Amino acid sequence: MPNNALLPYEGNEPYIFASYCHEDNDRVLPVLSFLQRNDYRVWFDGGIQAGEDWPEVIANHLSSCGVFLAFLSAASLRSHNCRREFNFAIMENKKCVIIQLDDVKLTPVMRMQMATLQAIQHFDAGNVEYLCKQLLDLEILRECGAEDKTVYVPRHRAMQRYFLLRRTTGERIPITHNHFKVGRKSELCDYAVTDNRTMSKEHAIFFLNESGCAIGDCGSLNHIYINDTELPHDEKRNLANDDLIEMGSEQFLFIVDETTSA
Amino acid sequence: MSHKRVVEGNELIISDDSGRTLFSLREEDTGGAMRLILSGEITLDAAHEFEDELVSASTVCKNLELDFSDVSFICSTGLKALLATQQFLDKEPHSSFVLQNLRGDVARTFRETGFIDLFDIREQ
Repeated sequence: MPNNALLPYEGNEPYIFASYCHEDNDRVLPVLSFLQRNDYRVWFDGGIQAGEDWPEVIANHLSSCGVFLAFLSAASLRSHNCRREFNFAIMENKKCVIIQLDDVKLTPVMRMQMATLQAIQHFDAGNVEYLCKQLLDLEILRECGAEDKTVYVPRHRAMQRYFLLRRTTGERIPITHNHFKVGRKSELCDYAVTDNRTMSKEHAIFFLNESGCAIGDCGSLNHIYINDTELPHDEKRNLANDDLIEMGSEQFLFIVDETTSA
Repeated sequence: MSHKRVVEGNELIISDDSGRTLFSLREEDTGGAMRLILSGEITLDAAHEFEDELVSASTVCKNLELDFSDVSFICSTGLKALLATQQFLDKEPHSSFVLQNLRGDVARTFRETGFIDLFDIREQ
């Protein structure tokens, strides 16, 4: 389900048609939100009203778009609708930008299709912020942005960065990407606390989404406490600045750092 | 019904949950044409993948050859995909769309539906 803060663009100016599989919502919607916050006009399928004929609405918006932006993933390759949108865009000779979310194997035919398209390999990029910066640098998207933006100028609106401050060491750990794991085992986690056996091998996982950063429990033995309240194993909870997170005897302060781009 | 989709080299393989291959499609660039070598059953599970690859192929190559030697079944969705591709390529200059080596039930389906008159069908 599309994030409530996002609204598909409707109008006569050039816009980006965003094609993605809904299984990838948590990776795609933050990017679409970022584009909209930076005055790019973006249409996505959250605009379809009940009762509307799906293929016709999609085809109409695809035909009229200025740029086709496709998020390529294992899930989107399995999606007949995503493949149809991609093929339709190619047939219509649309300007295309492909964001490859997963390291997927493509058939020779798809490799040939992709060969002439602008592609960003996000699985190499590391975090959404880096991907968004790459998108803002793309000349091909400019026609779908604010008219007076000929060169990208950073907006005054902040880009939020999330950190964990480990209280025992004072170390500041950036949460760099969605599904950021913290635990005792370095092979399984993005950040490992190897010297504290009260932490499980995979203890906590952090999710980056449109509403911010959320935490979930990986099934830890000693649980997770947020501001002294236990987080149930099956629950994801949004975090706020200065939240105290306890994993076993280890304490982290969750920090939201609002910085502007240089 | 769920299925698994795997790409190995030049081949797209559609299999069921137990790993049994339902359908495969191997793509070979012959220089002048794209040759799609099909195998298995083009049931509804596989037909959408078949359609997607067929349409993708038609966007990058205007001369397509489909080898049906090892295809034992094609459903109506698969037939529609062939027809749509034919109609698309008909609009492209210097294009060709050849179906080769129809066998058994597949050949009978083409005859009974009248599709045999709609395509360039050959024996290799």
